[in-house]
Amino acid sequence: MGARVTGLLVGMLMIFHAPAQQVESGERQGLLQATGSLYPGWMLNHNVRNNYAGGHFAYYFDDHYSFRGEFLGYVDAQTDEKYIKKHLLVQAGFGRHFPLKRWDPFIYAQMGLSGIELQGSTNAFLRPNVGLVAGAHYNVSRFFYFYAECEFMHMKDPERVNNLDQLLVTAGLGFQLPTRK
Amino acid sequence: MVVHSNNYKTEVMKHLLLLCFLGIAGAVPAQPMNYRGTQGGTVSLGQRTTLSAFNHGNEASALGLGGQFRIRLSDRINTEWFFDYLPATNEFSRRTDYHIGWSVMYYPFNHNNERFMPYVLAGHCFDYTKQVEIANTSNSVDRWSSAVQGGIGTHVNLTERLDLSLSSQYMIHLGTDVNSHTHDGEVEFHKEKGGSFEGHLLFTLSFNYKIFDLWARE
Repeated sequence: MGARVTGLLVGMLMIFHAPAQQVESGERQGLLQATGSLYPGWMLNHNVRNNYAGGHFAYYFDDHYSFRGEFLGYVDAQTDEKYIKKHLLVQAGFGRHFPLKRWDPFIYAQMGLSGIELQGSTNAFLRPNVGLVAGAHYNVSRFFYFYAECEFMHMKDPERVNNLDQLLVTAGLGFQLPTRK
Repeated sequence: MVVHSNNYKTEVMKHLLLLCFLGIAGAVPAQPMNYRGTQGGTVSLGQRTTLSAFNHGNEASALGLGGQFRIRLSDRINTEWFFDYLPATNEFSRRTDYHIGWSVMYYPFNHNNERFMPYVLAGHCFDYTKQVEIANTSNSVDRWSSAVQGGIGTHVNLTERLDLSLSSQYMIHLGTDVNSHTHDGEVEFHKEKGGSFEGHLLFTLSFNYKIFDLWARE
């Protein structure tokens, strides 16, 4: 019942908004995007590789600028050596887009908060983090896009005087909804 | 019955949230600001990150996160109200600072629509600091303090509503000073009375979105 009503509401919004926007021609304003993916990561201060799962949503308030929120959860290390035990992070920020027909190269500057617990420790910490994301979208249709991106994430190690930087990459298929009349 | 009622409420809440989110998304697209002659009255909301470079011997720099809002009083004067959370891990202690305060910004050049808009700022904040020994968390010290800060910065106006701001400030604490030392292998915290001009250098990057004009006419 709930899913049907939600589907009906989304359908009605899509019809009533009657999007005249043509992502094919480079128009982006009003696009609402969401996706989920896996994020392999390389720790830059340790010889450890990690896996994260997460996603982001973005809203274009201008053809060239958007707001984005991102959340990631640590799954496990890819390597035998592990440094992180638990890690959840949320980030929000603004991006600059360079739309060219269906292509949409972008950069985002994001900031957020990490809840993190390291191996060998029983203490969990809240630590601020910042991220710089670069990547590109390819708009397959009005409602779907392919994307690939790379993120440099910086934060301070809560257990010692050190940085806890990571390079994360991801790619996949995203869903988008034109909300502009 | 109660279960049904709760489920119904949950469903209603879900749909309301969905509608609010999509409604806001549909309404936000960059409508032009309706200024009443000057840009006074502009209210902005922003997120910020601060790098705090402490100038004490064994204290590490801190990366912080915070939020702020601005209320612009005139073309030349703006005000900024902020909160920052700044944790740092030192060699044998952890330090956490919380700042809540305000600054007045003055634009020496009256170029509202330029891409770069430099300013000088000065203000006051309340500050809570806590230091904890890493090896023994029962050994700690905290204090409330007051501080003044001043510096320079610039807005980078990305769109009519969105700006990126970068500022550099020096903050001087006017209250007691807390610091840590090791003595015969033991970590000792000292709370020194009297006005200490302990300070730190803050570099802040913020994104700000102009929400509305308080003084706009219909």
